[in-house]
Order: sequence, then structure tokens, then C-alpha cells
Amino acid sequence: MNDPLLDVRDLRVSRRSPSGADTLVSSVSLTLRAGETIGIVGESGSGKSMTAKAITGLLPPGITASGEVRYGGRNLLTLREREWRGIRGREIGLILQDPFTMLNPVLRCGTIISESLPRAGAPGTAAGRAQRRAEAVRRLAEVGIADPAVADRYPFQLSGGMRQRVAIAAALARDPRVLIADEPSTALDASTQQDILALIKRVQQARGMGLVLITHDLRVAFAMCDRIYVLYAGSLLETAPAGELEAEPLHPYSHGLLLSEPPADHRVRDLVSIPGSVPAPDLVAGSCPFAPRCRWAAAACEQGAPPLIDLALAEVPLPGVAPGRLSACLRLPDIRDDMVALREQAGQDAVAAPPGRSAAPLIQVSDLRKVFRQGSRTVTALDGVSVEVGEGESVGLVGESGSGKTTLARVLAGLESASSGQVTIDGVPAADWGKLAGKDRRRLRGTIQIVFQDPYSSLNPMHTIGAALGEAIAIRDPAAKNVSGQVAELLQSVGLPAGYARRRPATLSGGERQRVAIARALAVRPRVLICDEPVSALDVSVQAQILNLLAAIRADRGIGYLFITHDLSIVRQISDYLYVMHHGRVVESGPTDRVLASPADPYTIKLLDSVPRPEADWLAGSEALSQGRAAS
Amino acid sequence: MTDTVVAAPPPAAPSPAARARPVTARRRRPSWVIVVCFVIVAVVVVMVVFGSVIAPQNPNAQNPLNALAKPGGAHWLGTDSLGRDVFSRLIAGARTAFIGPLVIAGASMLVGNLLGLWAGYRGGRVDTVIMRWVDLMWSVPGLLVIIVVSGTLGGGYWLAVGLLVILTIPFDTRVVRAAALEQAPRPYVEAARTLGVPGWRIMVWHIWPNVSPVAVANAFLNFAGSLTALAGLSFLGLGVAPGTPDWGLMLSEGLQDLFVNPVAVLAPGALIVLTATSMNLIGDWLQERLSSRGATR
Repeated sequence: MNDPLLDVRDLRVSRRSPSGADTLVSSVSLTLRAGETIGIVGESGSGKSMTAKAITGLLPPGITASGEVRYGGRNLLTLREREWRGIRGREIGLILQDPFTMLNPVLRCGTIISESLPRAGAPGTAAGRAQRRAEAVRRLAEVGIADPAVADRYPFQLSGGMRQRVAIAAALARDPRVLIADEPSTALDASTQQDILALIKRVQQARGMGLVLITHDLRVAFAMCDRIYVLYAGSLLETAPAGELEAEPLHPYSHGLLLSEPPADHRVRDLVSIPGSVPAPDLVAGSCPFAPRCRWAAAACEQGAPPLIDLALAEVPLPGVAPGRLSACLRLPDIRDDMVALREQAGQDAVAAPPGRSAAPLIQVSDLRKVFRQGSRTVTALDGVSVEVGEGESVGLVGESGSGKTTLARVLAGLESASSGQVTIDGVPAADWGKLAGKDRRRLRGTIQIVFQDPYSSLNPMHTIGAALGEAIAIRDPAAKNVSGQVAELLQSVGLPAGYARRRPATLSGGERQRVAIARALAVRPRVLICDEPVSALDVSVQAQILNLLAAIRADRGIGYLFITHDLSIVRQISDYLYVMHHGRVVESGPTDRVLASPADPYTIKLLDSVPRPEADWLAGSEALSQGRAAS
Repeated sequence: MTDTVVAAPPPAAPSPAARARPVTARRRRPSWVIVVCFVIVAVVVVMVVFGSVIAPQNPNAQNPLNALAKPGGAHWLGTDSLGRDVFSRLIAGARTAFIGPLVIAGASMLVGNLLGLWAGYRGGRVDTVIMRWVDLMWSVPGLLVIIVVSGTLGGGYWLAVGLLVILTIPFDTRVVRAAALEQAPRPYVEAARTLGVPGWRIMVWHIWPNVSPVAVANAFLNFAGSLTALAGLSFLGLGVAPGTPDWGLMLSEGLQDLFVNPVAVLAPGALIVLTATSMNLIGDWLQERLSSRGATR
């Protein structure tokens, strides 16, 4: 085997704080060889981005790293800023998550790339300039942008996927040997994500670079990586070759993470979620970091952090495990059978949804159009959409950004008025809520409620949770007695302790805030709940909690859902009937299972194909498509 | 296992959001500058409330035989040209220096915030009408209007206060409208709308607390501004009636005897500067504190 390109040993990252130092990453060791792809997988707060920043010497002020990052015979952590300049970009390239802020908005794309190019040709001369421009155009072609005119455009004139391509071209400009990609596809639509990942993979293979992919999405990691490092609360809990990890995770956390992920190909009865959320590394120091959330935690787990050991080389080797699988779980021999059994049980198919639709449609939308005017520009967000939601029915609405799905939700909730077309909610014509009589409007408010995507801004930061819920209760019933008792009941119904009534949103985690937002919507006892991407801002394990909660609420109260999402595997779990939207039109509809099993519309087929799969053909499949698209 | 499926974490575990609060959100102890500002304002407030009790002499008692006395003895800061005790007049003058700006800042904050919330939240025609009025008010030279109007109507302290209220309202309106405009499209406001919360309640109960840091800071700024404006008007003879103890008037009265008893001019001048600066700094500090209270992330 060849020598490792990058070798990280006992990396520790901590932040100065009034109480001493907060640990952000407690101990991370990893190796990367030329041509290899490793994935660092973890939820928010696991320290994965801090690890990447430490490796590239980009830690923010006040945050320091110790340990060793060996690259080319040097420990990078000891370098000074001036020495870093010879490494960053030339030796180690970096791609960040947000293509919208990563490129300098006042520079043209060609300039962004050529400024990172090695100095070639005579600077300042016309010949030198022409040479650099030609090189920039060639680099753009390498990332699938065949149109040389893009070099003269500004970043804001490009789509998210195109920007990410330009960013990749800039990161590759000096031909680095290591590429670190921090959530490179998270901000992109599913099909664009596939293109970008395929592009990164292709360039990596062509150049024989080492690639470190940082992601929260296990499916992406399985599709891209040779080896996966599972990071949790600043510690590595498991590392294994990707295929083996997917076949059998050997740590309760990776096991739970795999189960929380809604399967793309079938509907399960209940998602297995991990309770709680990722703790701060210092709160779990001195014990197994995962112990507080682990269903198999025992007394031994609390005594010291278990070391990450190679399971094949341990004193009592785990049977049937090849060398190179490391896990930090003490109880593995005892719980291995349980873990396998639980996976089998969770993998069982749920009873299929009833094929027919319920008789009484509660929401009827026909030929709805919504046109936004901005100055002289008009944007058609909804172009003749017809949708029905029955009483107690769970309807999914799938589409990428710009498909008009959120606009439809806003029209239904009375936050926008329709340009033309009919909307009937519970027998009331509601295309424009402004024209409704007060009585009707009140009735609709009690019929339809909405849960927003961003749990951080959907609660008033200045109000306590109790005040927010109390207000909603008072709106349903101005003469309500024992409001605090009802608030406690509501909190309990979404799985939160009653004591949360006194807290402000800032002290709650994202999942807890989303629970409060759901409780607030439920306070007026709606008959249909519009969920606009309610879990897309949440971690995978928390996402499963919320999806289970929504399923439990539906079973309990019989309310209907209009569930808006870009994620096909979520829609499979939660909805009975499905609408697929594209460019403001419904391109396909039908019972969820049928649409996903045998999609008829090419767009639906493409969406389904863009869900990450570990098979080799997934990334290959997108190449032909993206080449064609970039050329057009 | 089913019982753990829906349940949230136990309340004992601090959530990551609470832990990861930014440094600015931590409650910081006020710096010594702010403490000094508070002391200065507290002294002025004591002078306003208990002025007549703590003044060593009658501020209006004239004694021509002891005019323009140097500081010292019975008159700590000397006497003015009519033999009135400067120190007692300073204490008595705190009333007009403080109450007028308080009324101006308070009244314009009330009216301006309501107008600003209304314009920012409702938008459309309401916004257009209110903001064109604000533009109109801004294009008027304020001091000139006061001089002309109070010159025509005969001047007077409360007339000046009233005019300053009207001239200050546009400042509050503009600031609060901009802040409300930023809050209005946020999901928490839309969530309140979909719940059916009445518009006035969304403005006052949901949006205002989130714009209150700028609103409060602006009110303190207005206080400082109107304190100097009122003193200036009194200095020009358009404010308080002649003879009233007032810092601005004391400036103009003492001016001709500047070199005989400079303290009679410097003391009220210093008080004007110190009070105005203190209120300004306290306003900034409050803004920082209030906005950290609702830090979302």
C-alpha cells in the first residue's frame, strides 16, 4: 500500500471560553491515500466542519487545534499563516457548502478562476491575459461548463449548481493533491446534487487526488466514499469501508443513524429514531459520548470514553469481521445480535396505504395560477395547478426549488392571493382571503394551519413558549380557562416537558423548536396541516423523531396533511397520495406507492434517479445527463 | 422502544442551541463608562425630583449687592449678575432640561413607533402615505420652523416642546418602519397571521418586541437631541420665560459676564453635554442588551 497523503493523529480542537476551554473535537485520527475518498459523517454539532477547518488551517480566531496533521512530511498545525499560503489551494483544495456566498460577487467567474491559477505567461501583457483566459475557459470545460461566455458572467447570474461548478474549478485551479469538500451538495437540488457529486468523483479519479467528503447524509457518503468515519460529539465512533458499514454498522450510533434515514425504496411502519440531540463534547467527556442516547447503554459505558479499536485485532476478535473496521463500542459482542434483529424488524414493509382517496375533498384547487410581478419582470410561480386534499388524507407534494410548491402552500394558508383559478377549502371559496367575510376567515384559520421550514425563525424570539402557545389557544377560544394547563397538554402531545413553557426559543434545539411550532398549529385544532419542508433543516436522527411525531398525531387526531418536500424518501413514508410539481405545474399525480414504483413522467423518473444510491451506476448515470445539459 | 420514538430529550440535558450561544448573547457586565453615565443621569433625576428640597438657597432670590460673586463660601459656584445662587439655579434648571426631552422622546416614540409599525407591516398605500409625509417633514428645516412659529405665537417652553415632538416623530417612524419591514416577512409573523392573530396585535405584541432595541435606542438619541435643542431655543430666548432657572437660559445670561464668573456659564454647559452624552451611551448599551435577549441562534 502506498503511503498516506494526509495523516491526522489525535486532532483536538477547542474554543477559548470564559470557563476555560470548550472542546469541539476531542480526538480524531484519519488517513487519506492518493486516489482515495474518505467520508466524515456526522450531524450538526459533531465537529465535522471544525475538523475540515483545522486541516486547512482556517480555524476562526479563538479556536485552536492540537495533535498532528501530517502532510508531505510536515505537521500542518505548526505552520504560520505565510507558510499556509503555499499549501492551501496548491496542495489542499477546499469546496464549501454554500455556493452563494463562496464566490466573490464583484468578480467575473473567469477572473475568480484565473486569479487562483499558477502564474503563467507574462503578467500584464495582452498575450499573458489571453493565455490566462484560455486556461480559465479550459478549466470551466473540465467542470462541465462548455459555454466560454460563463467566464464573463458574475456569480449571481448563475444557478446554484453552476456556481458550485465554478467554485470547484477555482478550488482545482492549482492542481491540489487533496480536495476537501464540506457538504458540497447540501444546498443544491437533488438532481443538481447528483451532477455535482458525479463531477467531483470524476475529477478526483482523473487526477488521482485524495478526497475528504464531509456530509451529514449517509446515502451520499455510501455513494461516494471508500471509507467512512462516523463522528459524533467530537469523537470518532466508528470507521469502516463504506460497503461494510452499510451492510452492518458496528456501533449503536451509526446503526441508529442508518435506521433514522427513511429508506428510499419502501415504506416502513415506524422510523427508528434516536431520542434527543447531539450533546456538547464536554458534557459527555469521560464516558461513551453516545451513552445518554443509546438504548443499550450500561454501567460500563459511563466509565471512561471507550477507545476506538480495530475489531479484528481486539483481544477477543469479533467473528466475521475483516481488519480495518474500528468501533468505539464496549458492548459490541453482547448487542450485535440485537442490532441485526432491530434492522431486520425496521426493514419490514408497512401495510400499504389504502389505494382509493377519501370521499370528501377538504381542499380543492383547480387551475390555480399565481404570477409575481417585479417591476417589468413577471414570474409565473403557479401555472394552472389542480390539487385535492381529502379529509384526514396525507397528501405529498414533491418538487425542487422553484417548482412553486411553497407558493401553493402560501396561497392555501392565505398568505398570498391567487392570480386566477379556484381554491375551495371546506366549501368556502378561498382564492383571495382578503375578500372573505370575517366569519369565513376565522373558520378557515381553524381548518388549515401551516408548519414552516425554518424552526429557528418560525417562533417569535422574544416570546416564551408558553406565551406563544397560550396566544394560539386564546384565538381558538377567547374565554379559555386554565390556559397553562392546556399549554402543558399541548407540549406533552408533541413530546416536550411542561417546563418548556417558561423557556424562550433561543434555548431550544432545532427539533424542539419544530415540535413547538407543530404544537402551536395544533392549538387551534385544524383539520388539515400544511407542512412546508418541516424536517429539511433538521439532523437525520431528529428528522425521524419529527416524522414519527407527525404520523402519531395523524393517527391520534385524524387530521390531514399536505406535506411539501423535496425528498422522495420522506414522502414515501408520510403520504398516501402524491403530486409531483415542476416549473409551476403538476406533472404527475397518483397514489404515492404507484407513482414511486412506476413513474410515468420523465421528470419524476429523473427525480427518483437522483436519490443517492451506493451502486456504481448512480454517479455514472448522471454524467451523460450533465454533459448534455451543460452543453445546451 | 415505542415510548422513546416520539418523546423528546429529557429536560435535564441542555440543548445544543443553548450551549452554542454566541459570545454577544452572553450577559455582559456594563463597562465603567456606562456606570458613570448611569450615575450622571441618576444625579440629574434626583435634581429634577427633589430640586426644591436639596437646593441650598432660593434659586430666584436676587441680591444685587452680592452680584457676580466668585465661587466659594455660601455660594459654591458663585452668583450671577442679579446675585442669584448659580448652584441652586443649576439644580432647579434640571427640571426644564429633563422633563421636556422626556416628553418629546416619549411622545414621539409612541406615535412614531405606531406609525412605523403600521407602515412597515401593512405596506402598500398606508406605507406610501406615511413615508411621503415623513419625507416632507425631513425636508423642512426644523430649527427654522420652530423659530418662525414660536416667534409668531410668542414663544414659550411647552410650545417648543410640542413643536419638537412633531418634528421628532418622523425619525422614530422611519427607524421603526425599516426594522418592522425586516421582521414582517419572517415565518413567526406569518405563523401568527395563519393563526388568525389580529393585525394590531401582530404589530404591537409580535413585531414591536423584536424592533424594540432600535426603537429604545432611538428614543434615547432623541432625548439627547431634544435636550440640546431645547437648551438652544432657551439660549435664543424662544424657550422658557425670562427669569426661569434653565441651563440654556443660564448660558445666555452668564455670557456677558463670562470673564467675571466663568463657572456660571461653564457649569450649565457641562451639565448639558454630560447629560446628553450619558443618555446617548445608555441608549446604545440598552440596544445591545435588548437585542441579545432574543438572539435566535
